Amino acid sequence: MVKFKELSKLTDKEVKQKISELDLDLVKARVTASKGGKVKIRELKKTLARLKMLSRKK
Amino acid sequence: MEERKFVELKKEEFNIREFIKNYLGKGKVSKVAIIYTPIGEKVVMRTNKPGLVIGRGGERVDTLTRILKKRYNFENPQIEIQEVTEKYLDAQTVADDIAMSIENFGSLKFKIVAYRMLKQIEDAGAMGVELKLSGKLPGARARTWRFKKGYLKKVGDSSKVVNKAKAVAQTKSGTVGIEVSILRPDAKIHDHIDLTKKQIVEEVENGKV
Repeated sequence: MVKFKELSKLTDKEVKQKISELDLDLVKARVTASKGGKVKIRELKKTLARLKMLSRKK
Repeated sequence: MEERKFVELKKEEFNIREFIKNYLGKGKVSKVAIIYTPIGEKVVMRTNKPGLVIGRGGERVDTLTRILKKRYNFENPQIEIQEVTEKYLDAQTVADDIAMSIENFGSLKFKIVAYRMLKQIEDAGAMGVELKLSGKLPGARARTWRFKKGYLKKVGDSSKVVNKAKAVAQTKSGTVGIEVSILRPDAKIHDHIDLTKKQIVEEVENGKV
């Protein structure tokens, strides 16, 4: 999982790009949830939440 | 018995609908409705490719009218064509599109097809989407793959606003079923409340909030 400190170094544009990337990753993780487990989903959701909070702050 | 007549009529309607869909080809028509009027029968077809359905100089429509008259004993069939403006918000069109893509690209590339379609539907403005593909994908063992994104109503009265459709793809390894559910952006949901600034101020002043 990416730490908040590391995420806060990102620029506005990078944050937006990362959100869209992780959004797709989350959909993919959900499709393969029965095989890959739910740990990945949880991590992705947490990272997404951090990024969204950052984008709101900025 | 009266009921038997209803069933017969509905069966006949179903046959006509299936015939029209097969005649025009997969993915051409999304919905066929038959309306009985005093002057004759009105056949309303919803399509995203009106040019293909009408044909050169109305050739295909004329042929279809003749067939309907002859085979199904229609007195005066009038064919009306409605255009589907937002292709990716119409579940039947999307389902047929996926079925055709799977048939063309093979069952190995179904994930690419599904993700691409999911993105396009989302970009079209849908509130939520769900695609279910079930069958021998990608190998010999059958399973169901579910691709979903956004917000979707599943049960209850409010789930009636969801646009649902089914299609079938014939691949080398077998038949693949495709189910599509789309929640359109203009769908009215009971738990979705829009408040103007004025209304919020009034609510606060009244002490309700």
